[in-house]
Amino acid sequence: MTEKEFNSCVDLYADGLFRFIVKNLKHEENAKDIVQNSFEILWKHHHELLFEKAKSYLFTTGYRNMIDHLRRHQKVSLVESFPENTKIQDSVPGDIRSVLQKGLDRLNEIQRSLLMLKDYEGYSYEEIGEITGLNASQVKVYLHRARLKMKEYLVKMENVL
Amino acid sequence: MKIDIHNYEEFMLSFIDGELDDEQTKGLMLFVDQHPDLRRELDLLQATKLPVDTKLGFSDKVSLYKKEGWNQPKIPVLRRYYGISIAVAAGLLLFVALFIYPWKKPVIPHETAFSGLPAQHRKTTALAAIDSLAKEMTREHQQRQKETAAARYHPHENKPPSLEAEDRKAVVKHQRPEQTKPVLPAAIPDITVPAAGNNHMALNKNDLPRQLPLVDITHSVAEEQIETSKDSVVTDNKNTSMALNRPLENENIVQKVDEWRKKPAAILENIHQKGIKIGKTTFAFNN
Repeated sequence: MTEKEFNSCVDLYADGLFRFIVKNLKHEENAKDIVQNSFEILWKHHHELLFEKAKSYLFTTGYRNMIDHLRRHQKVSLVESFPENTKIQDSVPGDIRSVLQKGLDRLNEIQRSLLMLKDYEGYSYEEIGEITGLNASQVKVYLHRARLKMKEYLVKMENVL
Repeated sequence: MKIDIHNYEEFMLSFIDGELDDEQTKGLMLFVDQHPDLRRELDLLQATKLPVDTKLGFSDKVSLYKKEGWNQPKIPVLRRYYGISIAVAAGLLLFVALFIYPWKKPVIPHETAFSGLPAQHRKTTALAAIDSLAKEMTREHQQRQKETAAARYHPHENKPPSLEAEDRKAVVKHQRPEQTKPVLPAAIPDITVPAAGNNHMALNKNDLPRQLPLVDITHSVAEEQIETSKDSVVTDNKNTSMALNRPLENENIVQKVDEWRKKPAAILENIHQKGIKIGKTTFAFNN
């Protein structure tokens, strides 16, 4: 991978990686650190990597750092709203968004990561398996369980609301 | 796989994940149309799909850009490609050891020309050995042969009878099978045909494809080779040499020459001592 290709990776994948990490950690600064660390590691090995494999490499590195961070800290602080400098799309009604966020919080870290990788980045079962170290069948089963849990929570909230 | 009431949920979840192909998606939609009560379940699952916040992004991308050589430790080229360099060097050494070094041919003296040589080298080495051996036949031997032959075969005494063609055939027939076949060299050095005349073994020089050094055989050598038979024209008491009023058939000589060519040169030593026997005549090689 050349220097030019590396800088292209920054433009293409930095936002998606940050989105994925911050949604899991719910801490912007920690998510930035993990994103910067992921790109540093990519730069360190950029001579050995192909440009086509950069996205998978970045998300794999970011995911592992995120899991390590979560297990080290255990505490998860819920962020109800994001700082003003982050622009949030309002196409989805806020109440549903918050309900979904709460539903995500009820999932374990693997289910949550799988759901985000699937819905935010559009990875296939196989690609998600490469990032998380699972096989495609496991990814499919975990994802389905996560969605059923989310569905149950939505039904529950619907009943409450 | 057909969608039914037992597996529709799995198909719905895969549909939400975007993992169904067109045919499966059509099948699912058809099934849901046939079962309207399942429509709500599909909608709820659809609602679990997380919306993408495209506006949420990394604000400080500039800090992530890199330049070649910036903040990078300088790694020497050899160290960087250490593994590849070692592999290439090992491959070259192996190539030299396997394919180049073993083909260095040793110098083999002609005395051991045939020991340990592969078959395709034997002929070439044999020819060279024969040539050198033929040249090494000394003048002294030639002189000795001539003197002996002159003493034995006086042109005016004991003139051997001429043989007709039938007699020659009879002689050939009575050759003892157990007698060792003449030891013939693989190649024949150049021979010089002595002048025709009183020499009983004179050959027409022009008839021979190759020239052999011919010397009159000694009486003792001839007696060893003699065929004794009641029907044989030649007896012990008679002159052992065959007087031929006409040259030997060219075909016989050519055939023998070809046979000689094919024999290894290691037997040339035997020829040097005993000569080559054609019929009842023994030719000694001399230079």
